[in-house]
Amino acid sequence: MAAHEDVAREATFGSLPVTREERVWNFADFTWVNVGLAIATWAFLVGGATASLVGFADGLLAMVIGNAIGVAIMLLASVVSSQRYGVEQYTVLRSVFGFGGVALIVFTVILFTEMGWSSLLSVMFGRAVSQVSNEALGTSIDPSGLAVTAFALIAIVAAWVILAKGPLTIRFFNRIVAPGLAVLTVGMLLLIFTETSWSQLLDAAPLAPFEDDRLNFALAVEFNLGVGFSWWPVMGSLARLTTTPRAAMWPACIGLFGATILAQAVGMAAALTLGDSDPTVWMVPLGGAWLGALALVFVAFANLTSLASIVYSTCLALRQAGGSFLTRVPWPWLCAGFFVLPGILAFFPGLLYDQFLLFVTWTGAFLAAICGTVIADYFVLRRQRIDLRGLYAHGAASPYHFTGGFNVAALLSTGLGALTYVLLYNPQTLDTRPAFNLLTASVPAVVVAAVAHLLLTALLVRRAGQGGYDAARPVVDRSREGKV
Amino acid sequence: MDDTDRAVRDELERRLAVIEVEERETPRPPFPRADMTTLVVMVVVSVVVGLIVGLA
Repeated sequence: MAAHEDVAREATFGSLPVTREERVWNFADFTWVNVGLAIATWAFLVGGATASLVGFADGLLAMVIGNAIGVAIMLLASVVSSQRYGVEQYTVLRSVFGFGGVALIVFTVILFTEMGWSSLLSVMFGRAVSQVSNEALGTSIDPSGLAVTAFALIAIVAAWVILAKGPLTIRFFNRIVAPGLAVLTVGMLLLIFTETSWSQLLDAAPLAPFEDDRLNFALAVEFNLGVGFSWWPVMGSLARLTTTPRAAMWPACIGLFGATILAQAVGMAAALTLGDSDPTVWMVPLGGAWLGALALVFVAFANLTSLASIVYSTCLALRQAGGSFLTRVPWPWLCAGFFVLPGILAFFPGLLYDQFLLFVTWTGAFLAAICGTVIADYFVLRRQRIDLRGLYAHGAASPYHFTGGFNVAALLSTGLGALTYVLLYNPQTLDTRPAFNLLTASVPAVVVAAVAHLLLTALLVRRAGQGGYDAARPVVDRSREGKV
Repeated sequence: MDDTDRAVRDELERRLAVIEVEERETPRPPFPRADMTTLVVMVVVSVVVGLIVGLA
């Protein structure tokens, strides 16, 4: 099958449910998929950003706490339903937000989140190449200079070319990059400990902390919670290909919790040892001129494949949520359209890259609220039962049509959850309430969104006989009666 | 309705029919309760550790 046919097939049929024989990933397969996803250049960025707030011991604790909670909630809100029904998550989400509501979420939260990540990865590519040039050619390119912009734009064009060639090309590059990054991570760990003792690492001061130590720790936990939630846009679509619920859940935990923490901790150790949170600055001091430059070339290449991977899944989601209009837009044009904003952001290299923590916490505010709403809907209101045909029926013929295609209760709940987050911790102004230091902002956002969804659904949706919620219970009851 | 829409509709119907037969023969179980408990314990332990460290 030609590459363009492969893209067209996946874009056209990708939202359809998979049958059992099409579920190809067992426990071991899905573990490798998740480990490959986790050990990427963004793990180094997270490690560096955590080191700007806290030292190694506190940072490690913040990573464990933040990722444990964030990943667990994120997996319950994405992997479980997609795995059971074999449907990618943006189609499953129709049962929560309605058809129009999903489009609203995809074209706002998901689009801007993934555009932000794309911008970060392209600028990281630009800075990595600039460092190589500075080292090999003796140039003195500024980290926020125009040359970085030019290299970031080259990364975007290269990623677009890879994307236009289709998923087979992305898979081919990922097979090289994932093991290479694992080797790079282990190599960095060895180099760090040949230069630095364990006690020196534990004593290393954070890079740019605030005066209040408790606030620094709470911010580090919150940041890592946001990192855990940031997997949400891609996980459901992957999990539908797994064979059993256990083959979906635990490999995801091993990869996105275990392997992520390992890679982040190495990044944090490098940042604390070398006194800089930017991963592109670490390689030459750690590995020397040539080995460092080689590592930077690999980091730049790895960023291209990560960039292509996230844009691929996002553009598929856009196409599926965009209805007949986007279905008719040629694949290369859709991908090109996605890259417009990251291309503009490339002219401001420091805007997101130097504000990485801010970006992750802002996106975490909305993703946490979405997760709370989804968990309440799927586990409590629907008791893990979805009408598969209803997910694909159109208009009023679908129980998930709600009010004109929008589930107002779910959208309001998500808004309330995000508002709770911002009231407890405003990422922009850094204003916090005393409760933030104990509760974080994400966890209350999840709880508020979930409780609000339960209440608002009872008040607004079930009374109106919408959403197919009442269909879930009689089916369960009938089956029980049958057994009796 | 063009050829693509028709192909998608036919493929959807085929898959739904296959899945309905699969469901009748071996229903897909809900998420295992033991796994859910383990996951909740993991979260609770993390929250408790976080609270203790936060208070300290």
